Amino acid sequence: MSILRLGHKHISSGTLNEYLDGRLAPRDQGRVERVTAECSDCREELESLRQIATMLRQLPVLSPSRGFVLEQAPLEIRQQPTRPWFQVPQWAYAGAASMAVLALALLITLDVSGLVAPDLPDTMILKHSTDAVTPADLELLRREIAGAKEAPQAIEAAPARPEIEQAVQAESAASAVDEPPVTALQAEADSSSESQALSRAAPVEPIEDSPAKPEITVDDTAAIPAPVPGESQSPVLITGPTPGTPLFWRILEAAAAALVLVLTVTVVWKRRASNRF
Amino acid sequence: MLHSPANTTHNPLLVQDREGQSSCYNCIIETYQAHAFNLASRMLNDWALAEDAMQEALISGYRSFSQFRGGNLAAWLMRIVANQCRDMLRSRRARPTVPLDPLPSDADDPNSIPSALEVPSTEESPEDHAARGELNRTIQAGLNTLPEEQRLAILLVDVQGFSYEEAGLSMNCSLGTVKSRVSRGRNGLRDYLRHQGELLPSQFRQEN
Repeated sequence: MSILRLGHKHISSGTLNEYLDGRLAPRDQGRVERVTAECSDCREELESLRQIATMLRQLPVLSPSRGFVLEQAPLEIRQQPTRPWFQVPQWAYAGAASMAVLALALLITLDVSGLVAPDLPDTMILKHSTDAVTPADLELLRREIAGAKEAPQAIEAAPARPEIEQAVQAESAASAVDEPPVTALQAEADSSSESQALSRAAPVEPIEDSPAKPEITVDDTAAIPAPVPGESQSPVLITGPTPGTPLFWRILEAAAAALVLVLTVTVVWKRRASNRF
Repeated sequence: MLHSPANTTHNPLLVQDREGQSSCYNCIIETYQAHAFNLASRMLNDWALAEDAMQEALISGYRSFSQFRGGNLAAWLMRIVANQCRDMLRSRRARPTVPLDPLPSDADDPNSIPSALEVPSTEESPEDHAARGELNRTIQAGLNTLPEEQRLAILLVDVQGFSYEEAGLSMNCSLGTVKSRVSRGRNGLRDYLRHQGELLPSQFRQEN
């Protein structure tokens, strides 16, 4: 141990206390004696600490007014029999907790990076998209609808199709009056005005030869409730859960988080229990 | 067997440690109760609370004796008592109360009735005895101002005479932590006594 740290003149009180308790190596002890012989401040410090230690040693022993001998064995606290699997060492719990934290971090990282997002059908993407619907998108939809003519069962499995058809018709009407692309939201929100536009516009490309295709008429579009003035229109079409993280992935994340919590509590509890005695 | 049933007139209450070694628990109590009570009463600064702490700690020690790995029994017992004192100090902080039965050396109660501990001995004049009592009260008041762990450290090392290693076992901390706590505790007590210097009898300021 270095007695004169950083070349400071005085000896630290920690070293002086160790000297008083005989905890210093003989060489350091000799240095303390040499320095205290020369330095009055160090000598005074040492004497004051020695005086305190002596005063404490001379304190009277306080005796209890009674003895504490137990007349009979204290009642045992009923304890659940410890199961063998529970008797694993503390480090095993700590290791398991660390692994659970890593697993949780991995799950969340994959989730945030979007690697676990499912391949959603185009219709669903459109349904939830707030981006402007470009003519290319609508052409894609048109092709999909045309494909559905050959596969009526696919149309049956897509109940949201009337909305898409409506969006297609809205686009046709809009293109007829040479307007810029509109968003799907606007297309639906302004359905009443669009229906009027439909009646004025050039005939829409007939696609009514599909037997399973729902008929989109002005009446149908009129059935869609008109937007409330002043109300935000953006979330109107978002009717289901936000696509992205599959449900099973969220369950996995929740399970990992719960595991981290349980293992951390167990580690802390076992640590406290072992520290007691 | 160190603490054999033959050494007590009470119910021996045989206990077994983790190594399978049997001991008479009441013999252990009789051996260490004075030191343990001294520690508890100076930690808690309350006579009645210290007796409660002792009772609880000894019962707790009986129940957990099977976890004792052998070795330093005094350090093990002091650890249980210290833990009990910590719990009581914590609950007292949560629900502050006035001590029902303060220690005879309590500086806050100068009119307290002197206990048997404060009766002058034949070797000490009444004046010296009074001065000694005043000094002890001031030291206890200084101890009360220290943080719990520093108070425990200097009580174990300076009052109980434990080595640093034994104090480390009792406080469940490393040797370096013991050194640090002892040093800080002594420094804190010295600063307190310097601050209260006018209260200290002159012969005790420069004695020893």
